[in-house]
Amino acid sequence: MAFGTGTARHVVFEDISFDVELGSFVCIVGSSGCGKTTLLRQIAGLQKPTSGAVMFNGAPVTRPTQDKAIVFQDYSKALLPWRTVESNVALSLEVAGAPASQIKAEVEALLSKTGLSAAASKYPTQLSGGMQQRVQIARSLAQRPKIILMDEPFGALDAITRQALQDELQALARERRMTVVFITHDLEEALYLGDTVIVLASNPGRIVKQIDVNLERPRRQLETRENPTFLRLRHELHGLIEKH
Amino acid sequence: MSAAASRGAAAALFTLLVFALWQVAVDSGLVSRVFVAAPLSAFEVMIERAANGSLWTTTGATALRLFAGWVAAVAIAMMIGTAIGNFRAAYEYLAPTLEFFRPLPASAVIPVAVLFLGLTAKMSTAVIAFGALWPVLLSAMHGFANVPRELREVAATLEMSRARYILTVAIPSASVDIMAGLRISLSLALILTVVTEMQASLPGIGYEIFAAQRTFRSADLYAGLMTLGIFGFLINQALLLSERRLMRWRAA
Amino acid sequence: MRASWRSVVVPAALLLLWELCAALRLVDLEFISRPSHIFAAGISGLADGSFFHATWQTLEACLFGLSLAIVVGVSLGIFLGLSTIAEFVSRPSLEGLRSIPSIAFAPLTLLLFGFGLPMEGLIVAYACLWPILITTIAAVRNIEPRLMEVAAALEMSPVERIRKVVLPAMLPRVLVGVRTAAGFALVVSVTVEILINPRGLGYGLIVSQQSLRIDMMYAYLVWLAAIGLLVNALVRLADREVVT
Repeated sequence: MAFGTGTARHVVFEDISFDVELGSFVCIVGSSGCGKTTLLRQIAGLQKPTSGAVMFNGAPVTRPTQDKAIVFQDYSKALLPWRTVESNVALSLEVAGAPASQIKAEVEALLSKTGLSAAASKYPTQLSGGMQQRVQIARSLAQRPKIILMDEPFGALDAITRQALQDELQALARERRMTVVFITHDLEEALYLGDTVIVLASNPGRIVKQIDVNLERPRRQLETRENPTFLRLRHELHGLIEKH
Repeated sequence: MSAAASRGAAAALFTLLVFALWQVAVDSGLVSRVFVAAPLSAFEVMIERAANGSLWTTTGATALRLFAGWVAAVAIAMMIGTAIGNFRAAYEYLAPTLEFFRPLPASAVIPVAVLFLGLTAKMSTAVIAFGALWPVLLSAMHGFANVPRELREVAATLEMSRARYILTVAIPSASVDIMAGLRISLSLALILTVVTEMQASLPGIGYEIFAAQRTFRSADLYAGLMTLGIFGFLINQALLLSERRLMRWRAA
Repeated sequence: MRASWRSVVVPAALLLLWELCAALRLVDLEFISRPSHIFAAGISGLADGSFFHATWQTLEACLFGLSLAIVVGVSLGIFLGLSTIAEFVSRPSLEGLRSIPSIAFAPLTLLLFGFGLPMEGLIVAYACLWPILITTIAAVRNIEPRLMEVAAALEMSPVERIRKVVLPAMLPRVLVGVRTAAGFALVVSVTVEILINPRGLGYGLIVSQQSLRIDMMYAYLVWLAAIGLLVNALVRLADREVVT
């Protein structure tokens, strides 16, 4: 898959061009205002680039589709509060018209995969932030997407929950060979999760550098973060962000 | 007894005290019986009416007209509201005109309705329906406009059809606002029911009050007011209860 | 609301259609009249001052009722807001009273005061009382407890406490109630006038209908809508000026 996008209204960014390999975990970082979210929304088909195009499997992206799932940062607004957890996760299967028995089975499987089985009949407002975000992830997975786009999904969570979700996401991504585009402002998180880290600068947004993260998987919170390569890359990233 | 029970008893006692003072004020001649009936006399009238059945027939007549008008109002308001709230074109063409009619007092259409439909029950239902639809319409429009952006985008990503989006996302999301609109609408419907009853001398609680004034029967007048109060209270409670059941997810 | 051509297309087209149908005698004029005649009636109503006179009478009743409601509502609201016991104990009586539509008292006030300003003003006052009372109680209840603690620490007398802490803190919220009440005032006064009281715009409306001066009836209607808009705008303006 290739992504090449161009200028948006206020010249948010110019000449951004990069490819996302199938099965890879791409993290995008940059200081606020560099257009990370706009970029993600263009990839999702929610916004159209003013020049250039987003290509997905050889075809241009013109509108949002089922095969591109999105996980929003504000989980309270992205879940349906009048539906239970299992009903929320079942949403995409319902829309696809799957039979009830199949829905039930798949939802159950997804809930157990994301640690939500106990909360199945609860309403989103009864859950903590971390749990609600898990529901969003479970729902995205239910779509059977080809790519998952995540807009700072762990940004509103506390550090401990964030680390737990990072590891859960990592495991899921490995197991299902997911293609993920993950936006974050947390440089360590980007290095921890990503196979590739793309650094965006602002005013106008453009790709400063694309870093390949050659760290072993599965990654562990303590060991990986103390790995010399990790630390070196961290320094590099900090420097790049500071300059731009 | 428990704190809650003793508080409840205190409230009941206070209410009784109010009635007692009122009774004393009338009995002692402090206020004229012509203008202020004694509560006991009013109660007597109510019981008499309950016994001979007229209480139920008049309340029933009022209730019937109220619900006919209100249900019609809600149905029409939801249809228009859903159209305007979910179709850009409908909104742009119709919303400004609606904004103009919004501040018009609902009762102002009574003379027009009387012109076309005379002093009839049909006129009453038409007025109730017209007046009561505005709060629901406006709250529905507001609710639809405030569906969170993320939800709309999730629906777009899932490639939901417009119909499905309206039914499974927009309406539930707007339901909180719509419920508030329903409450206001029901109160308004009751007011219009009473007004049109009085205007057209239609059988009902409102008319009874009106007639009692004409014949200076203050006990009847106060009995009518009390009946109306109880009736109004009960239907509001009924709405609140149904709201609570439908919106269980909010309390959770 | 965008002042685009689209907002006026529908009403303009309808008015034009109406005028044409009437001019070509396609519709029975008897109950429907036509825009040009209505306009003419309106002009004459304005010219001879009857519209203004009626408007003033209606607004007089509104102001009378609203002021009374504010005085009673705010004082009672402060008392009930500060004393939980009093509020709880009086709740059944108040809820019962509130359930009676204000208009139902019209025969009673007519009996007590006869035709004229007082009977109408009192009905308006009754209708306006409830939103003001309820919001005042809520406003008092929701005063930041720390403010009350400070007042207690400074050993303020109850009167001082009310004047210096309670009143300023609850003002914004109470104003919301007053705004709602102001909306009711116009509706209620017009309703009383249509029903029985021979004064004001409502009376003008119903008398025109009864004497089959259809053009004048519609003219009153349009004028009423305009007055309604004006009152709404004034309330919103006052709201902004006082609160900010």
